Amino acid sequence: MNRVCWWLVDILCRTLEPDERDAVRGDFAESGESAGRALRDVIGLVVRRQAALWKDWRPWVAPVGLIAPVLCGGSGIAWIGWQFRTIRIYGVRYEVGLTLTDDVVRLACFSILAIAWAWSGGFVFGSLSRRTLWAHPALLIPLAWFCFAVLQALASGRLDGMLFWFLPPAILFLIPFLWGARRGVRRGALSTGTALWLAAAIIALTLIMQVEDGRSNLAFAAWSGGGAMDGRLAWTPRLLPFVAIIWQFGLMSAGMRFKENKI
Amino acid sequence: MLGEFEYLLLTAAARLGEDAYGAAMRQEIEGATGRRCSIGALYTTLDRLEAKGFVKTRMGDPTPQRGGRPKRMVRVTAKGIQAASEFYSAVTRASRGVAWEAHRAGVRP
Repeated sequence: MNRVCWWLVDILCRTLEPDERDAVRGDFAESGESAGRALRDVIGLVVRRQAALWKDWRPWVAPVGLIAPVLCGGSGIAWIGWQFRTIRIYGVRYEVGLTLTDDVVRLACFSILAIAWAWSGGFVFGSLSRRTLWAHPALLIPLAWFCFAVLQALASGRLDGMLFWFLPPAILFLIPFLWGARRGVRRGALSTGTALWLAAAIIALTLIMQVEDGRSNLAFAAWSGGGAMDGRLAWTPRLLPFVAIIWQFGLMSAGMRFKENKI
Repeated sequence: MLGEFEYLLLTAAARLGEDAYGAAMRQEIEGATGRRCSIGALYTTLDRLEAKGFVKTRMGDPTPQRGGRPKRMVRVTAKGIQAASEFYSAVTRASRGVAWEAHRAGVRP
């Protein structure tokens, strides 16, 4: 029990600033604190520190880092999830008149774009939330989704639910998001050059995706013999990802230089 | 104006002088008040006092009895001494003539 308590004390101390962590662990060692009392004390300190961090506005607006990746990378995740499910249930891919090569190119572009959006969104999330990151309620959303999808699949005994088949691409999305968030916590901001390169790569991939989407819509219309609805998007929603790129990379480079900030 | 716990911290730090640091101040406060002093309250209040300019803190050298970890040393500033002195005067003035002050002085009301 004591070992478990000390292990928990160590874990909780990691959320403190390095100097404070040393001072607190040293105080425990010097005063011969019992494990139970040390745990209670360190929980009190961590809660107070977290509460103080939440007085700042930045952790509250950190979830804006999720908006652009979910809006712009979400359709890719949905499409990949849909393909997984179709192949699992019917043994064939969901075809809309495109060749296998076209679909593979589309899948690769979607995946790279989703990863890039997730990483950059995670970076913004991390640079804003800083030390509140690992206790941030917004991080519970993907966890809740994961648990809900698995429980739903277990309860029904079937693996054909859409939610379940969104999980593999969602996990692929979540890993770069967490990686970006970690980098955001450590670095606070990207250099303008790096941000521009990353933005240019996402713009290029988004353009390719929009061309691919157009081809897919035309192929679908031809394949359905005019029966399918015209799925072409107007200019306004097509511009949305580019607005999101400018906004997000502006945050990443110019506006978010919090390195000197202690939060 | 200081809070009660802030005053206790300043007093403990002033009494300990060069030896004022987290664990020693905690022991001092617990001895004086007979109440438990949590590390959370101690360190967050120290930060607040430092932000107000009433104390200065620095990391000391690591010692073997602390498992090789340094102490957070505390020094009361002139501003802190003035604030503690004003608090003490205010409490003394406010207490004049009340039952518990008279009792302390051995005078029965």
